[in-house]
Amino acid sequence: MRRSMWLAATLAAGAVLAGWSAAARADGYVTGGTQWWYQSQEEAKYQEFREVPQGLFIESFLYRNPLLGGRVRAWGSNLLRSDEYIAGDYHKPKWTAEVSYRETPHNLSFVSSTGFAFHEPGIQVVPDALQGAIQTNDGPGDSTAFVSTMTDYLNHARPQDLGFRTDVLKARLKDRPGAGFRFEITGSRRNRSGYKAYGGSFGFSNVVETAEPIRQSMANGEARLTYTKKRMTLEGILGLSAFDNHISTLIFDNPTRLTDSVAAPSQGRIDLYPDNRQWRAGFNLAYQLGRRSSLDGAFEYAQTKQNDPWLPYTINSALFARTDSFPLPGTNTDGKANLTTINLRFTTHPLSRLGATLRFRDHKYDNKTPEWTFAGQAPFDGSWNGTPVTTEPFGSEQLVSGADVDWSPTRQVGVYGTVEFTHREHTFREIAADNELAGEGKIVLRPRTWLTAIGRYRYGDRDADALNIEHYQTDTGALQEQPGLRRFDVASRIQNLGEASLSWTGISPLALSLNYRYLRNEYHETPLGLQDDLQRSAAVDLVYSPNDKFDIEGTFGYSWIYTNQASRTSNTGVPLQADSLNWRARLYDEIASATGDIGWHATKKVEVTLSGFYERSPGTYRLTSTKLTPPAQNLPGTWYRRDGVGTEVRYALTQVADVAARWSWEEYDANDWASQDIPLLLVTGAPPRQTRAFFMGDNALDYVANAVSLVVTRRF
Amino acid sequence: MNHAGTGRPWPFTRGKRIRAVLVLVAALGVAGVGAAQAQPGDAAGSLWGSASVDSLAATAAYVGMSQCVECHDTVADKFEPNPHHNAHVDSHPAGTTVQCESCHGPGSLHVEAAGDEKDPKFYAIRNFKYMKPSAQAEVCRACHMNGEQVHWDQSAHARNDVACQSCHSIHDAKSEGGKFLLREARATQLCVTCHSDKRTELAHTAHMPLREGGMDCSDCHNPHGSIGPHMIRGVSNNDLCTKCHMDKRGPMLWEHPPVRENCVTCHRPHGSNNDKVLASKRPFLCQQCHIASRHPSTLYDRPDLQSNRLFNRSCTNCHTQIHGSNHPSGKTFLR
Repeated sequence: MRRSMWLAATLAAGAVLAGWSAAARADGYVTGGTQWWYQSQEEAKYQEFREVPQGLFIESFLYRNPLLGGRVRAWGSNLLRSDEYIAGDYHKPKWTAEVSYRETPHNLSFVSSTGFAFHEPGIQVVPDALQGAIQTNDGPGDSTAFVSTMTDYLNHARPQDLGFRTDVLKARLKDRPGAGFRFEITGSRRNRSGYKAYGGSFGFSNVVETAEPIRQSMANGEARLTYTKKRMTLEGILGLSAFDNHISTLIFDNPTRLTDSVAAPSQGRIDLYPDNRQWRAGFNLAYQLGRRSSLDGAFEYAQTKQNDPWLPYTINSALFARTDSFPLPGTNTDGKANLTTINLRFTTHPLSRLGATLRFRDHKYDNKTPEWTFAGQAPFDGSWNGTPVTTEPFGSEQLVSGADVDWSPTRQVGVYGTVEFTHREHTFREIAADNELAGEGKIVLRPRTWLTAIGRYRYGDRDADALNIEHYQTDTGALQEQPGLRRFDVASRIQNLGEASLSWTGISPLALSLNYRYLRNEYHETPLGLQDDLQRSAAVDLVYSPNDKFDIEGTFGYSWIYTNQASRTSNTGVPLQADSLNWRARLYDEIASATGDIGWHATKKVEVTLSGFYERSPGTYRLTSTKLTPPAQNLPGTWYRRDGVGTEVRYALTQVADVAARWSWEEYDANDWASQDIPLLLVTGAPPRQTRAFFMGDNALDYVANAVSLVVTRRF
Repeated sequence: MNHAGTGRPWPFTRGKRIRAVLVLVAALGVAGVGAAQAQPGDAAGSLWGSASVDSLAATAAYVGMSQCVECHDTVADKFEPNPHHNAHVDSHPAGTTVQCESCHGPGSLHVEAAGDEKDPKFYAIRNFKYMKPSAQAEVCRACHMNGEQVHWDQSAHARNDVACQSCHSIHDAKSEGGKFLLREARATQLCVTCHSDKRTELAHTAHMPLREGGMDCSDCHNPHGSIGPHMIRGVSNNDLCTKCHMDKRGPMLWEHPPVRENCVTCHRPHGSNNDKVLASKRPFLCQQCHIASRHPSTLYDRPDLQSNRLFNRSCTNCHTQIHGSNHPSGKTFLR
């Protein structure tokens, strides 16, 4: 009702504005209408990042008008909806002011529910009576009574939608304060609010899924001053940004305990993302050296700080007496990281058809956070592990040197070559450094102005330093990771990349392009871990316009991603190293997508469009073992399919007004063991090692949706 | 026939694939010859871009916008609400506000030709349609050489002969509100015309809100060049991602190394089959790097379908603070 009033008021204001605009030198349009839609099941995917309006809506508008010696412009879409966008700017010859506001929903589930009541932000509770009953009567040894009590309770679980909305307000001012000078200042504020499924644990596999309350704000400001003189541009940049989490902790009840004990807490507490601050400064230089050569340099320095106060080791009062004898080593992380980036490029064209570039880049994440040693850990608020542990403030640096040569022997042929050397260093990691040498070649053929063929190939060989086994060991020297494991992000690697494309464009009635891409990574020195991965993709685009009345566009894309990983199962404190325990997972992710659009100008006043789309993304999970008992079994295949069609018939009422009728149909089919048949309560195993897990049941559902709308566009 | 030991059969044999490619190339060739005969080149009969006209154009003088409007009145009408119209330029022979000749060059000879396409003087003016990409950029960058465009000369687009006009339409923009004078309603629609593999990736079930209009390629990439890899709007992948996901920026008390080093170790930002645009399905993604002992090393297969270490959010059902924890007891990202 309130929204309808706002819509009516906005439309009335628009009508007044349009009337006034007719007298002024304004132009623009407004499109609005009414819609009815139906969805067979309340699956959030249909409105994942949008709001499908029911009833009146304003789809888009534009307003432009001279004002006070300048020009004002305002435009927007989806007004008064949770996916609205409004923007405006004002241009004067020497300066411009811009502002925009966008809301973006991310709806995750409309069918989830929870047994928790949200007493205040960040505190989620179940009734004391329930906790007390389970603790005293049902106990962990009596599974039947526990299941009965919890099932009765969860049958009345309240619905809790999962999802959040991000609102972004941006403003920018550009000015030219003097000859050669330009000044630009930008600011943005991003607010995020809602709920997201989050896991709390009270011990191995005893999961309590809760809804993480999200109330976050992010602010960002940046100023740039540029000076340009003849062949040189010099730019200075200063920026500040801040993240504030308005709910810094999440406290959630343990449904199975009313009072704290050394082995089981009545509550758990998670420290949500800490506030942080960053400032940055940098400069850019672009200099034309003459003789068709140029130098481009950039330097940026940023410092991020995080000093949110620490929570105690645990919220468990029974454990707290014990942990209290081990005071925390400080009050906050005193987190500080310095980012330094240096980019240098020199480009020259000694001949009109020959160019060369030398480049260097250094990017360093220097983590200056102190190393903190803690007396122990209470990882699920339910027990105290008194082994001292020390933090590892990871850092990294990447240096890239490269040379590129571009040669066009004729107008129809271009040949490109690249050699690149990358050196990376990683602090506190099992691989201290790695080096990669890569070479790349590319050829572009344009035998006709309307025909282009491109081929590209890249080969890279990354060589990692020897493994520092200390990072796989505890402080006492016990092995806690398989020595054969190599983590793929720092492992030795051979990379092959190939691309080919053919485009036929610029000659009516047909435009066609074909693309193919191949990327293979082989971790050739990795006994355990990711062995290799492969990605292939192909795409076809077609536009056919046989005459002024018809336009046909179609696209098809296919992508196939394969990963092959080796692992070894072990159930002992120190990992077993027998090959007979090995298993392997080969995963295949595919996607096939197609779109089609037909436009038909039936008469001068009638235009018909028809569109359709199809997306299907299956996953295959092949698990194998040679000596395991029982042997590995494949997981069932998964898929997500979404397809739909839509049509619009538009009729020009007058030169300034159109009316359109639309219909759309969409179908969604999900089949995934990870996101379907999720119970609110899961009990497995037998007492006393029984696992008890509580979920929110945010299952993926199939649906069919239809929408019918009537839309009017009025130009002025 | 299996490919490279992956166990994945191709739908066609090698011979059939080669034949299919040859047939396609032949068909394109035949069609190309046909089209070329039917339509004899895009500038045939014209002198756009010829050397003789270029030297002629050097002798032209500035005549002012009022002369242009006499013939190009519809273009002038469209130009009036354009941000370029009357924008200030520090110094230019055509004047200190942007007019037709600020971009198209002096027009006296073109005016003298009075629309006669047989007169070489008709062609003595800049027509961007027939200019090389680098020549187009030279005109645009007379003004646009700061901020967004400061790194253009070193960008991948400049190196690959992408012209300003490939994406921008100065006189007939289709973008919402005319913002950035784009050739399409949204930047993403433009980008995928060349980067069609990314269009396929964006069609994955897990994706960022590009196709819904909540964001655009240009929110993460600067098509005019940047100091980061892949023309991203940050000095590194993490610097880019944490501009919006600032909550993950840290530094945390307990760090997860790949999180701090590179977000795309675990995520596929253009789209994925897996929740949270993850590169692989959990728990296998985690098990690519964590084998250790007990549950990280365990094989979760068909009999475990309803194991809370396999379904729903798998490992992150418990290790929920996987991006790093600031809790003194958060070493294993449970708190």
